[in-house]
Amino acid sequence: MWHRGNLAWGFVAMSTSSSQSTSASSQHDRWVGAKHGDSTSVEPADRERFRELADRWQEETFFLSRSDLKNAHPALQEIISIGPPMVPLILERMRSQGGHWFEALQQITGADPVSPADHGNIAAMQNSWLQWGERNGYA
Amino acid sequence: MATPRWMTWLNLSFPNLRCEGFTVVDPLSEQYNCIAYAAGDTSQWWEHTPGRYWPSWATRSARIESLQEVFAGLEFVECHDGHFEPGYRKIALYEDDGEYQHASVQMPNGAWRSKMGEGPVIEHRSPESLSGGMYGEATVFMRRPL
Repeated sequence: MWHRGNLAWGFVAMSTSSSQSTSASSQHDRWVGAKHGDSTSVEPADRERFRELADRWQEETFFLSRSDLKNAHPALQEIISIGPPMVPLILERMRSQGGHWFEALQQITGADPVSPADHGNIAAMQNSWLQWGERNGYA
Repeated sequence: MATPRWMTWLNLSFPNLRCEGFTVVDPLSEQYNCIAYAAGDTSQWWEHTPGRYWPSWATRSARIESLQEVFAGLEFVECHDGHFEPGYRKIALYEDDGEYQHASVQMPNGAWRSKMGEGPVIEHRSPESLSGGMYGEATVFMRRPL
């Protein structure tokens, strides 16, 4: 359970039905953390820990409109603290499910591949990072 | 059909919304947020944080006053409340501890709409529908002629 100010945010009290069925949009996949690709160079324990943290981060910050608040979430901070082993997993998840992973990638790698002209254009920002990943051997 | 998990979470996060009900009018999208939507832009994410779009005329700050500058630059002027006034579009700005959290916009029929973070656009009864949740309270109202 994450606390921001006096608000307690968490998923422990809600129903977690696994029979997710909605026509809302393809983004629903990222909400339920449904897609996970394969990357043979990643340790299984890292992959599982990343999945847990990423699901929690995206669920508990889903309705926020400010990335500075999203990025302060302890689950994302833990991903950042693990460091480089998380990069291929982040890129893999961003490719399949989207997500605002930009600051986490920037903090871990020190890179900043997004053109200022694309700031705010989420699809273009994601594409810039995915291309950066390909150039740096994460494809 | 099972209730989508995000909708359950939405109901838990906003107690007034749970009581009053709401309608989803646009699907989930991570491409734009509530500020962009209230400004009439569904192509990008408006936020004061570096690396996101923020209009050049406004101070890059999380303070509620900075968000007022954003909408003042779009010809909105401060007004008393969110009561429906024919001929005007109104917005409500939400804050928590002096920092902006959310923006809602009033439709010509008097109902209010909010883009919920990376979630859907919903239509709700009033600005107070979202009070008492993670967005804090609607404390600033602005309007401009339709």
